[in-house]
Amino acid sequence: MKYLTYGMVGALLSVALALPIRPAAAQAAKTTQATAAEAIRPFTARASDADLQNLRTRIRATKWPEKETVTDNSQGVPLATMQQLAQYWATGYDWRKAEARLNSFPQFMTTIDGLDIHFIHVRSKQPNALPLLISHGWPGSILEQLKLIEPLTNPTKHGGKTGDAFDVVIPSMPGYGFSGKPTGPGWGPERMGRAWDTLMKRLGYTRYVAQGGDWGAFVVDQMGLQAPAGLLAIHTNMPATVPAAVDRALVAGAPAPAGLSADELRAYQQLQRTFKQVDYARLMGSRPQTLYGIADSPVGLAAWLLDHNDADAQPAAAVAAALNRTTSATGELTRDEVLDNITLYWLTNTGVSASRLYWEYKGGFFNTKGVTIPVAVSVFPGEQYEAPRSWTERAYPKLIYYHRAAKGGHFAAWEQPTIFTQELRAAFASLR
Amino acid sequence: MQRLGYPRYVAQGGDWGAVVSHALARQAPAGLLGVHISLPATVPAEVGGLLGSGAAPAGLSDPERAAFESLNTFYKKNRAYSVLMATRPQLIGYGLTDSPAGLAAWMSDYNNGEPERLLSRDQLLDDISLYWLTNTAASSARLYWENSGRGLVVAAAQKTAEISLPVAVTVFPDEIYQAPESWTRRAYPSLIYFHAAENGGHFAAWEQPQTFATELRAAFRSLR
Repeated sequence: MKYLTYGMVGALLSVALALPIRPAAAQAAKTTQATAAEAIRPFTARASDADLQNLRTRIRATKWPEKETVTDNSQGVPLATMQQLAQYWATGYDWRKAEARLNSFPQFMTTIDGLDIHFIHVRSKQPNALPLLISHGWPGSILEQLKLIEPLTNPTKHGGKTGDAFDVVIPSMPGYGFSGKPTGPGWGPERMGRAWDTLMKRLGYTRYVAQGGDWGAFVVDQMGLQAPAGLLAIHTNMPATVPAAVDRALVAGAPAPAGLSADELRAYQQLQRTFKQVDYARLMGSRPQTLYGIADSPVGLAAWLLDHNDADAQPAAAVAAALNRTTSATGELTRDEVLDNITLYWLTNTGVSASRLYWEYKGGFFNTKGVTIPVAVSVFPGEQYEAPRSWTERAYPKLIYYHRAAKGGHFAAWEQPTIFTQELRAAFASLR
Repeated sequence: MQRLGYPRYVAQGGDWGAVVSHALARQAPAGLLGVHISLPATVPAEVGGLLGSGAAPAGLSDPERAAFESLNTFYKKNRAYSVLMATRPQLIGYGLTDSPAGLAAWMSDYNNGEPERLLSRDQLLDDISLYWLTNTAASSARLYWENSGRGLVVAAAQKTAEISLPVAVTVFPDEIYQAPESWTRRAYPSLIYFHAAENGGHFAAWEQPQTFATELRAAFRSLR
């Protein structure tokens, strides 16, 4: 039905523009091509042995700078940290384990708006599952959400009730992971939001919710503004709640305006700290192509991805701690998981393409966007700032859920999958 | 200079060399007669704070406005490399040390690719190769970190008012900004020479050695 409609519209436009109407045969060929591109094609991740060997060879051949002149992180990821990580990355680390784990989930490729979009799609076997799209960020990837899939789709086996089930869709943003890389400008979070809605509709969902952190939060905020039919609500763990006047002061580097509550003042100070730690974003936002070093050097890429901050440190304390953790009986982030994410960027050569997203987006990071559809917010203590309830209620007038989680940071899903799952179940319970 | 046996001398600097020359001039060691600056720090305090944010303040003359616009664009679009080097020199150091292409791109991207216009390919590669062979990508970035983000072109940040030794300034037409004479006289109380050269950019000595030599002769003539 859809293609007939396009055909009719095309015919009308052709008449209006006094252009020749396409012959029926060509039109049929075009719709066949459209159908093929829009097909949902199964996908399996498989790095070549040559690529994996090449990675190890390059790591071993790394030309190193000398040690930093300080005894802390204040000049960037310390040399000792990088060398220890590189040593393991080139020897004991095994990408095939991550690949196998990824391939244990159904993955697919489909073409949306001219680009291949890779996504994981797991349908719950339990009834009345709520379709949920999860949108990742930078320097993250779909690997951050893998530990959520089972608990979200199979709640009764993971501390939840039957009514808590979700179908889960986890796409990679254009320029990230296995998704295609844009060849022209225009792929900002707005366009990604539209693509995500197209994806959910293509999968047959007429009602769904969307979740995001970091760039994923920007994307779902845009989806909230677009308010496509079927999007019931969004959940964000990096909400944009700073009121306009306060945000202007913050961006200008001014002291906190008068009249803020204690929570609001603390949030302002936290964001002042954040703004001192995002120079990587300024670089990516202005000269992403110049970053040849992160495409050519595994260690250069790894350091770049590691240096993202959280509330406690730069590099993020949660990630730095993971580097010293080879296993975790309690599901905490491990060194292998950190390397899995970095290796995904390396194997897909997405260091530079991922950076271009910063160049594409000229909006603010934390200012209110004007979303009026239902919104659920989880505040994690280690996030860039702890969004005060006062600001959150003003930013999201249809706030259906606001909760301060006990633990978790900027990479909340990755660091605390159990808590994150509980948050999502509670956040969307009212929509069931 | 003392160790080389010179009881009197002058100093010249552009880019970081200008920052070092400013510091030398403030220190005023015995024997230093004066300095020549090819990237002068002339932006007044009330203007400096506006760079990178928005519109030029009211009341600027045409040369002052042009200077503001050049620097405003630089701050908005092309300055992130220096901000990143100033805060995370070790971080950027890894990719620049390990990747020749990464280093070359980083060093070529200065000021929106301007050096490519005025320097030959071999000249540029000589410079990049020197950094590569001496492994100085990270160590050179640390100078930005040490400087703690003090603006190179802002008079107050370079404490130009504290300089009482003679200062000579040449404005090169393709430098990051054309320092207006009005701002330059305000910034340097003991200005002995101000001249707009015919040619030359940010790497003036390298690009136009004849012009540069002529400027230095003229700049220091009165100190002989």
